[in-house]
Amino acid sequence: MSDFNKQTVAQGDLIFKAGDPANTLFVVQAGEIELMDAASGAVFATVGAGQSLGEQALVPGGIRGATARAKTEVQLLQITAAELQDLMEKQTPVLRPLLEALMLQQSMHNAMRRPA
Amino acid sequence: MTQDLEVGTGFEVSTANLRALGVTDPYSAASLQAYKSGALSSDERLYFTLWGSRVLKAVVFDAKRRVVQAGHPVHAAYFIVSGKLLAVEGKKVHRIGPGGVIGVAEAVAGLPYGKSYVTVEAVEARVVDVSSIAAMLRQCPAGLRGLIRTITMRTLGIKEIPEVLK
Repeated sequence: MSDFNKQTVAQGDLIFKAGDPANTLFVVQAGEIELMDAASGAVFATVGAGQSLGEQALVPGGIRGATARAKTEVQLLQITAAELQDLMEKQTPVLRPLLEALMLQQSMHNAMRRPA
Repeated sequence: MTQDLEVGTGFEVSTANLRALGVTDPYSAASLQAYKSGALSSDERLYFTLWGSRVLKAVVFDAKRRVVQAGHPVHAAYFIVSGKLLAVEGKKVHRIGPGGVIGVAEAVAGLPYGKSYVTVEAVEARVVDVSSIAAMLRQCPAGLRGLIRTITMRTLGIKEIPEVLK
């Protein structure tokens, strides 16, 4: 992971916006990031050190479903979609569908948590 | 099921919408063109790639059959291609359709199934291989393991890092 690009983001700055191309995965090394709903702008999650965001980069051609803003100064590792795909290609063939299914299960569980 | 059940928000990837966008099967040139057009949502794109995955085995469940039981150890994980199920957790029930996924996050975390799933009608699914998941995760580069850890913990709503992902 240390070979990936490092980035420091100032408090309050946007990391990506809903609707942007999802071409980068981020891993938070320090600080906190708020994820905001595309429609309402309400914060629905906070991501901290050791966590990742922007998993849509795993699916080539995807777009961001939420906006990410630095709650504090944040240090990030950036992994481009191409680097991620390259990393995936080197793994066992069953890892890719497992990760894709895991992302879809996350989407399903998010939906199930919303009020009916 | 009893009269006390509460109906929660359901989930499905609209196969009707996919057909309208030109995705009629996972392999044809027209479907691939639609996939590359950028018109599909993230969930639709995931559905499409899993539907066409050649490493997943197909399985069919009859109507009104319990597929997995909440609290039981994970013996298999599934991606739903077509058909309807009910996900039952306590008194809450959710309608699940194509694109639903059963048991993957639980398998990664080494936890039992969080919900029971019962088919409403015949269901076509794909089996996601979780038999060697612990060994696979151990061999994963740290970055990918961190990604899997984040998605798994978010999916299951757990705060403690699963042992296999530390």
